[in-house]
Amino acid sequence: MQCHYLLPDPTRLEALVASLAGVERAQREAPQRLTRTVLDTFDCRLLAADLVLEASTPKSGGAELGLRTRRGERSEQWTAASAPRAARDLGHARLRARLESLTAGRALLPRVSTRLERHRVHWVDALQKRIATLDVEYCPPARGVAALALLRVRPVQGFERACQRLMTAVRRDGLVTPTTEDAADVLIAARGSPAVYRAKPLVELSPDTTSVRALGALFGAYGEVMWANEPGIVDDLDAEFLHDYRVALRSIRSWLLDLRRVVTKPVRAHFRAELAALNRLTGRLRDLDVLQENLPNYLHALGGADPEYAQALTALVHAARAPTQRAVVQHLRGHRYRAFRRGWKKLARDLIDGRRAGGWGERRLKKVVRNALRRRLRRVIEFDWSRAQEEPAVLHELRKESKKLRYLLEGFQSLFDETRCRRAIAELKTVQTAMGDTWDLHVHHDILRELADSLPTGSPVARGVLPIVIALETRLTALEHAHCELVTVAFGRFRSPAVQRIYTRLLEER
Amino acid sequence: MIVFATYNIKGGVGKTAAAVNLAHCASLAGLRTLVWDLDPQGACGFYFRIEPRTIDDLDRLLDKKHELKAAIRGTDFPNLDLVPADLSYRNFDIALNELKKPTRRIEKLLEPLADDYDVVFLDCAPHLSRVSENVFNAADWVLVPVIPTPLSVRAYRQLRGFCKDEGLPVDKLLPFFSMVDRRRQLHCEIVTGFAGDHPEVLRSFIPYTSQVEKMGEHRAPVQVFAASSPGARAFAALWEAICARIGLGTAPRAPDAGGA
Repeated sequence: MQCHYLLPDPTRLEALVASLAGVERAQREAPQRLTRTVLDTFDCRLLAADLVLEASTPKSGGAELGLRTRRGERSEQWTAASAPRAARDLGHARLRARLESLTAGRALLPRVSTRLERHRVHWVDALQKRIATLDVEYCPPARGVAALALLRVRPVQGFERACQRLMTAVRRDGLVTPTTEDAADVLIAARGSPAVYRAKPLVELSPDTTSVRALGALFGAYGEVMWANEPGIVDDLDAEFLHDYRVALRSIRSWLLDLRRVVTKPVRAHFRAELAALNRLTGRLRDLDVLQENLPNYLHALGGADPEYAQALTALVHAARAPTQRAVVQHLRGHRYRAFRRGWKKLARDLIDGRRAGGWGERRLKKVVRNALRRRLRRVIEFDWSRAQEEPAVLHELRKESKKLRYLLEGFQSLFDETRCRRAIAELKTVQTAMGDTWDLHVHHDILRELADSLPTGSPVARGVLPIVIALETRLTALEHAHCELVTVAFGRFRSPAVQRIYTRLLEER
Repeated sequence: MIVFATYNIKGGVGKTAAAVNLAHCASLAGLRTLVWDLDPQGACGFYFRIEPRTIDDLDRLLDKKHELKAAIRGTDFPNLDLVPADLSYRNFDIALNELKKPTRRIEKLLEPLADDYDVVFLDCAPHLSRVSENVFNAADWVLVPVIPTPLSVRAYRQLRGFCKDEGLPVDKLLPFFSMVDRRRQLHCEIVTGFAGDHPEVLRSFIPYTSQVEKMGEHRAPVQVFAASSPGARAFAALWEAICARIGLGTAPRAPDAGGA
């Protein structure tokens, strides 16, 4: 069981280390500078499971990894060549299996990081056998936070009493005071943990604020979501990075359209062009990501597909994805994108300061948003449903319309009654999910056909893969029709008076 | 939890060295590992610089009120713990005979540790006794170090015969050659011939090296003080071979990738 102590006066660090090393038998290691990082998935799945994964990386290389419960009842330490980027990188088989199931393949990202200096002392017995390891961790003052020193005592199992005797002597010196918290948690609390990541940040907006300031705040928050997901896209760690990036991108794009008169025309024109280019570039990669994720299920449902050629088809999808991913990475690393980022950050700041405001910029926010919502809702409700049922491209148009409605609701939800807004979003989400699934099937059908056509005619692979693609096409078309029925039901419900009443009340709010 | 026993009827074949070094390899791979020294000589405790406490003697251990957990002591290496033996273990057979179900006592004592450890090594004393039966019942795999000499090979065949006679599962036995001196023709011939007769023998073997003998001087596993020596590499390779054979799915890092 570990014990933790605080050093009330960090300037007496050397005195403490000398005191610890001054017991009857001790081995002192050279001080080490480390960076301690708490790793978790972007949606904090480990935290939700009450676990803390830490990586301590000394400047000399390598990493000391530790997994513990939040209250420190159980902890495990092991070493690795470097900090893991995902659970699959862990060399520790049992923990790898455990964390893989918890993180579901998601990347492990640094949630909080602290630099510290570690002084390590081992207490040993007469046989030079270690009975306890004592780590004095010192964080120098930084960013207005005072210096902090902590002592972590880890007695070796079976030697707790001997360790306790020695620790009593150290405590008598009055250099340390016991704390119930884990040293790492104290460090994290003192250094300020960054805000928990949210793919859709909730920006608190006042109904009476000006539209331009509100849009600036939203652009800033959703821009941060985009930047936060960039490293994951570049390193190709997890398809979720691109997903979240695109949601933020499309939300911004949609608001720029719906609230177009809030900003000046040149601003609107410039950023809409940039965002459209990004959307086009990342769209194809997202389609391939979803296909890659769904293909095993499609093949499984098909049953009886020759495993060799099913694998060839999977490899074909992988191969098609690789250049698309490279193109996205190239763009994100390019001058144009960097200029866009700089420009976007400046735009958000300017809008918050009330600059670059268009004709509606100074109007009361709630009024502008309500009008935009009304327009958007009308476009969805009055959509020509008979055409959408027959033509997938038209259905996709309807899907895009409803997405824009949802982005408006989500971005400006703090302006409305929380329960009502949540219900409105939930009703819309049902329709969207049904439409999204139908559209995915349609897109996958087309991609598979395109990939099959790219194979050299008459090659053995083509001969093996083509029958699978044909069978999949048939299945996907049948599924698409079945999903269309679900969309009809969901859309019918959405247009029902009961659901529309929710929207009417929402729009009537003052 | 996987339980290994290092066992041979014959003494001086490298059982304790194998238990200590393989356990260290397992711990380096991140597996929570426990070594239980069942030999009254207490050599494992000597290698890990751990002296047994009088309160952890055999009588207390076999008393149902006490758990094995209380006798566990941490080594200097992460993920590696030890239950040291003392001279009271010389009476293990007698003590077991006085119990109900005397052949399953070790298995029962290990049961509560299933959540705490991934791998357990039982380092056994060299004789056929009630303790041996316990070990065979408790162990998933019995690692049998065999020196390539006629007597040692005979001892292994005797062990196989004993297992067959007693209805114990022979396929638990994982023999490997220990203290192999490839300069000796006899050793080479026996290693080749034995592998032909006994396909179960592991292909990795432990060479005769002074570094393994120096474990007693350094009182630590060979990987700790001679990480790149042939002995350390041989134990790492043997652990990999064992993992591959039993499908453990993990192998320790190469010894030169950094010891404890």
